[in-house]
Amino acid sequence: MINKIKRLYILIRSNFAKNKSRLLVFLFITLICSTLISLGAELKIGFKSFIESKFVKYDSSDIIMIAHGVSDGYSSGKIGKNKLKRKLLSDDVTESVDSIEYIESVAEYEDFGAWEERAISIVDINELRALGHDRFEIVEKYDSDIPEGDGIYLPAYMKYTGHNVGEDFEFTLKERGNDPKETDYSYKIAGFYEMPLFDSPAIDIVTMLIVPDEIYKEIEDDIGSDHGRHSSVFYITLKEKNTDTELLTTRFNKMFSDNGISSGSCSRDNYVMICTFYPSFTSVFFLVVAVIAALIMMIMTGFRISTEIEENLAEYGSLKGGGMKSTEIRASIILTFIIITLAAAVPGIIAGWLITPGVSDIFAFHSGQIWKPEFDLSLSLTILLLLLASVLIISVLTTIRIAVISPLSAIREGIAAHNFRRNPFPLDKTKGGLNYLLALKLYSINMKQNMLLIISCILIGLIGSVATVYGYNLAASPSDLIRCIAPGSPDMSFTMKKEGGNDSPVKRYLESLDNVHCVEFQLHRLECSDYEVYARSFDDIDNARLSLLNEGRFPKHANEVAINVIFADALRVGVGDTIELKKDNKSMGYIVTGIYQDTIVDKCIYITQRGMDRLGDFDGLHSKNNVYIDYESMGIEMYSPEMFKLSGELEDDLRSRFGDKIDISDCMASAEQETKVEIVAFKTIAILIMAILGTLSAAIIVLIAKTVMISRRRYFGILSAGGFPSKMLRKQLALSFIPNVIIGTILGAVPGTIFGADVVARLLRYVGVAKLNMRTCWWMPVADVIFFSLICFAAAYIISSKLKKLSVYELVSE
Amino acid sequence: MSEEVILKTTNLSKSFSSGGAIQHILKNLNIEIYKGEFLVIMGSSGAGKSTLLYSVSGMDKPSLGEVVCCGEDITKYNMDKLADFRSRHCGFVFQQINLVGSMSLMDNVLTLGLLGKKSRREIVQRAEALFEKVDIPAITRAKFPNQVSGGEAQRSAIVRALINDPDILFADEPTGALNAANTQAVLDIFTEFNREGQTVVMVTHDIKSARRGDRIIYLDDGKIAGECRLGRYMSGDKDRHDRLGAFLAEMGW
Ligand SMILES: Nc1ncnc2c1ncn2[C@@H]1O[C@H](COP(=O)(O)OP(=O)(O)O)[C@@H](O)[C@H]1O
Ligand SMILES: [Mg+2]
Repeated sequence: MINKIKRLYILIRSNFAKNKSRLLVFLFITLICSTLISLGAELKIGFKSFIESKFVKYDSSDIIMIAHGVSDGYSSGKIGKNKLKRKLLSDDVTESVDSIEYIESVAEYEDFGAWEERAISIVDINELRALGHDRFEIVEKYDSDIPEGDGIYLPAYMKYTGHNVGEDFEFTLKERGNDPKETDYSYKIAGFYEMPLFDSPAIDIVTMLIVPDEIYKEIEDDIGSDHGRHSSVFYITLKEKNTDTELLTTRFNKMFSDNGISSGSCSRDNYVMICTFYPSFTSVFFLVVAVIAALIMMIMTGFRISTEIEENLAEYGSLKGGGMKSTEIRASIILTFIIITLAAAVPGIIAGWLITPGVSDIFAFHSGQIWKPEFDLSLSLTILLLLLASVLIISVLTTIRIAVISPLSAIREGIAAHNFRRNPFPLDKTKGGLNYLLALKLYSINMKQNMLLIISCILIGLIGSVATVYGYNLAASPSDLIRCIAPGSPDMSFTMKKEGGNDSPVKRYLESLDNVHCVEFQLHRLECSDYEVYARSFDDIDNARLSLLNEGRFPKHANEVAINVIFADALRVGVGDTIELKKDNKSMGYIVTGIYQDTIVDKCIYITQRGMDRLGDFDGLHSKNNVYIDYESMGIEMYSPEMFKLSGELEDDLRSRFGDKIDISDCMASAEQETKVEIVAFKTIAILIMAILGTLSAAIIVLIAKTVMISRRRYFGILSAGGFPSKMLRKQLALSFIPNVIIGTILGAVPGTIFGADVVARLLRYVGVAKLNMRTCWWMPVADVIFFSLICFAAAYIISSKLKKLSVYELVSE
Repeated sequence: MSEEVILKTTNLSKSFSSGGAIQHILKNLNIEIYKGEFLVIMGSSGAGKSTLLYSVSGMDKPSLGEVVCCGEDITKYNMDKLADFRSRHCGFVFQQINLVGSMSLMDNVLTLGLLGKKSRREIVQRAEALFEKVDIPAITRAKFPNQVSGGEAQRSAIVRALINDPDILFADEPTGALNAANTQAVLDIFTEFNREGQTVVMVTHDIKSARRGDRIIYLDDGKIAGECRLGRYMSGDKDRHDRLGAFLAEMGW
């Protein structure tokens, strides 16, 4: 037994000694692969559980409702805070409702390095603490002696937008009304707080400043008796945690509006979805690349083992001749690869976990939470075991050959078992540069390498092309992420002020501009299967919005609607099904004719104007044109390919013309602002993926080139002796891989370019993306092919520098 | 045979370091090779014959000393310059034949032939003429090395060595792997080309091969132990064989 182990040890040691550099390549690829898998899994699984853990940690409420203009002291027609609280508590799933009063204002302050106007709420820290739960936590505090009364606390995400503890935070509060009074404030930043649901830039309700008593009083005094600016936040905790918080929020919102209170809200489900959207989006990419890397690693394991066997056939034969069992030889090879996998996967998984914070910081920022990933042992072990198991299976299968080697034939034939029959590209008959012809000849005799290379390049080309399309679309224009995810978003939208009335002058003016397309709509709040939905009614829904249609068509007739993907999935309906829409007490059935994508508003319907009329109460609500006019708001959406260039000027122009009639929102600009961090992150990821794939292809080439240099040692020796300079030989070797790199990459990149966006969209359907509207061009796969060919050529050329030292002695004394 | 020196070494030394120890293989050799001669290098196994052959032909660099060949001082050449030098001036024939297994005999020859500046047509014609001369028919030229006999393979290797019209043809035990009949044929080819003016430098172990040479150098422990001038080879020259025998006996063969 001891002897057996010793023999095995000697065999394994010699395996390592023989193939140092090639095993190193294998180690490297395994390392990349395990790092990516670990990173992707951590982002996918770890981030969601991190967000959810926050709810547990802070014993967080599941829904927050913000009631504007409601306070203890205020009661002019509206119901007061306490009455609202009682109403909320009466719901059968509500366990507790806490509320605090805060000052509501519009403030201007510096964020992302620019002064922005935001809704802001100023909360008294003591009132918040008095709620009794640890609703929030001060995550970073200036430890010197700012007395608590002297500083304010900002949401933790603002750490990433250029604010630091100890510095001053300046903001300007604005009154509402025609001649707004503005007051400047400046306070020391005492620290940052963490509070789920509330401190996320992703959820654009308000920015909450937590301030001590003294400051609260100071601001309150300034605001004076304007009780309309005192509002309430209701923290609602649910008895049953698996309740659909979205549905409940709808119910609460309706209750608020029934009582004449305007409200804002955020539910746990919504928060988790928004926070995990980008990490999920990203992890999909990392995981796909990781899976590709793993596949390549498996193929390479198979390749390495079979070439290893070929190279050592004679040796194995003589070992067997000497009485060694084939199981021992096989065990030595299998163990060699298991050891390498272990040696690479363990640090790889740890590295993946270590770099997760770097990648996740970007997304943690979005959720407003500071994520310090914890090492997930079971996840890591699972990844490790998966990798080991696949290497084990591959190596067991590929080493079967050893069992059937007969000692005699192995010794006698050795590697010389090759039997050449065909002479491709005969030199006396084929035209072309000598070195190219020789490269082609070399290419045509390395069948095994060719298979490996083509398959690997297909996989690499597939992913590389998706990264190219994706990177190009993001780089081409900053609005493209939004265009990809929400292709129907308008460039600008105009909402009519209630008193503004008729929007046709605005529309007429807009349509007189070049390259501008306008869609007029009315927005309605309806109910559908207990959900509150927004319905946009149009006179005609035309081609401008076709890009966001995922399935079917937009409604044409009064009994038709189109609904968005998220809603369709929630209702489990598809094109052709019927849904029931309800307005007040009237409900009607509508046929779903189309499914479209909209990640901005999650439950949303398109309906024709006449379709809306069916729900109307025609008595007294008719305008003179017989059109139903009981809408929430009415507006115009504007689309223009040149929007980005003119948005600033146009906005000023429109404001001066129609400022009294309409509210203008520059949708693209604000979406761009909101996704700024993500766009940078995604561009980086696209480049990162290309870099990983480039490295991967270089590693494959290194492995193959080394193998070819060994198996064709004599060939290169003979040519060198005959006067071929090493540069020519190296070029020849490097060139011999290029046909396969080109073929493989084309086979991968063409479908990747054509279908890549669709496949990614499919993977992302659960976050509401149904179709990624990416621009593709014929040159994209070509660029991929050139990129990978150049890398492979360079890698092979560099690694073959050994050919310079080719020793004739070795050649002739073989 | 002229008196023109085509290759000259000055204090040529070559040593290898293997496993930390330095092994001196060639020690201060001064050799001259004349244009058109048939030089044979003999010596016991491990004496450094092959090392000498490769050191003077630009296959390898000498450790010390100088080598001037075909008017070029190749001592300081780097590996690529040496490769270029070899393709212009030297042809090689090996004991192990060393044809590229994946190429036809013709392609083996053309691969080196096309390396030069001559046109494809010219090279193909020269290859065909040379094949004709060594008696390898067209069908055989299209075959792969493992489909032909050892003799045919070695004769093709000679064609390959001569395709670029080298100044010197180097052969390291070219008949070592051949049977008697094939050995004769190969030696006849060497003699024939030598008659036509080709300088030949051949390492051999075998007296029958050695007596083909005009001059025989005996190498022992990296030094020249002796030299024997036989003059032009003529078949059936009994005396020649005896003189060589006596020389070798003197050298302790
Ligand atoms: N590249 C090399 N590295 C190490 N040792 C070498 C090398 N080339 C030759 N030798 C050594 O030099 C000695 C002479 O070799 P060689 O010239 O081939 O002898 P021979 O006279 O039989 O042709 C041998 O002992 C061999 O081991
Ligand atoms: Mg030798």
